[in-house]
Amino acid sequence: MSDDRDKKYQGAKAIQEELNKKRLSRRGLLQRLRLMGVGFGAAYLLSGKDAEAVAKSEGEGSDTVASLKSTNPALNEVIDEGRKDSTLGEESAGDDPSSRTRTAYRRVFRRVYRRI
Amino acid sequence: MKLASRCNINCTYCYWFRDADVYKKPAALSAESEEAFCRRLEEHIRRFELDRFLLVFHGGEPLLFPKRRFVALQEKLHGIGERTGCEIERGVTTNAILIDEEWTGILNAYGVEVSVSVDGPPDIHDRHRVDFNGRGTHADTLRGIACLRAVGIEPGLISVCNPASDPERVLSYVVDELGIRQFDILPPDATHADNPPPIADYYIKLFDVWFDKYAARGVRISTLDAMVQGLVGNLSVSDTIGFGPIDTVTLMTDGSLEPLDVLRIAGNGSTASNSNVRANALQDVQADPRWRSAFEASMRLCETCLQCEYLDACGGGHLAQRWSSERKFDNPSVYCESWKRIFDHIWDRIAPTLIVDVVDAAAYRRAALSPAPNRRRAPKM
Repeated sequence: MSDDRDKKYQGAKAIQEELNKKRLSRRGLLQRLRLMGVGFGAAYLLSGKDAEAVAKSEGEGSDTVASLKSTNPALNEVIDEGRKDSTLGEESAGDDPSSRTRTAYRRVFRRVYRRI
Repeated sequence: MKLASRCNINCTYCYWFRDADVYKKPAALSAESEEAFCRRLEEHIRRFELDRFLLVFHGGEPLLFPKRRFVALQEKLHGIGERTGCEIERGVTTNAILIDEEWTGILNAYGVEVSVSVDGPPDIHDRHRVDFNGRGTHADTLRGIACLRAVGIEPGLISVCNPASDPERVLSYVVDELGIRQFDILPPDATHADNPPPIADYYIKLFDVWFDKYAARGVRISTLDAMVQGLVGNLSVSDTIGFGPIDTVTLMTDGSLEPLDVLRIAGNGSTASNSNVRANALQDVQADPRWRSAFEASMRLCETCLQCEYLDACGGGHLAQRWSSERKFDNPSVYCESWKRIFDHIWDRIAPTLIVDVVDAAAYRRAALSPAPNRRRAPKM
């Protein structure tokens, strides 16, 4: 097992313990996860940084990432679907300076088709 | 794309007619504007090499648009798609009252997705969704839905929440009686001038009923999805709640290009722009002060939001709900206190189920980039 992977496992275990003991706020959880490479969602939009810069600062290039799941299958499906969207957002953002427009398009697209 | 600026019913909560400017517009999209729009759309697709474009036919009531013209418009759009290789996806948001066999044939033939507004069982729906004589419209809407289903069109559904009603009744009605599993329940459109009732108790109960009884059956409610995804740090998938830009362009029936139409809730002329498809390229709207101000407001949150625990998950809520005449969009949502309570509650319920896993990065990205399940039409139960 590589050092990186080992570190990630230890990190994930520590976060899980704190989460289970309700010692971790939501913000705290997301911050810790971001450091471990979990999709940064709205963070890059709020930061004003380009996605590539955020990804680099958040551990891209590592051979492992932490992933957030739920023991509730229905909730897990929602989270999983959101992760796909977030990853697509990051992909398009990395390739194209007009990433915000692309993100918005997808947002409206999803909004409408969720409703239709 | 506003095909009609008038409506065949008179819903008490409608934002559209709060702006008297809509009465100054042609009742139906003018032929000249339609022609100019199609030309501009083709230019736009070519200029930006788009392979996908989403058009939503809207109103007023879009099916007041003459059928013959609707068909001709679909043919023009089809032609643009053929010539450019761009997939022009189409949807229509309707009250379904005018749906008949002819309409279903047209919608089916051109692959137009359909979204119908239903607020719940008759007593809840008919409280606000009334005709010009004050009569409820529930039965007529259900006739329209039956007509759609007769030709295999499974419509999506949008409800507007009535905070005084029981969300469990709405959920049970939509899922168990109408057989729809993917839909949305939206907060009523309101600004700080309206002082609307809180929505917290409604959405908290909605979440609990969904989570405890319906989630395992595959039922999905877009606003709840958006809140969950925001809470776990994913990107916003809805403009109702979650951080992200508003860059929708509305084509009015006179050819003018305006920002998101719900923003007209701010009052007369509030979305009026200087752009028109007869004189401007679609992209020119980005330089229009009204469109620009809405776009920038969607990305610039007020101090209260910037200090909030739920900033990333909420994003200030819907832009229209941030409006006040004193500070324009520089406010938290008029439902801010409610959203905070709802986020608190949902987080308390989902946090104990969360697990942190470590996975292979390449496999993670491959899985994340695999196509999402097709959710465009809700399966029948």
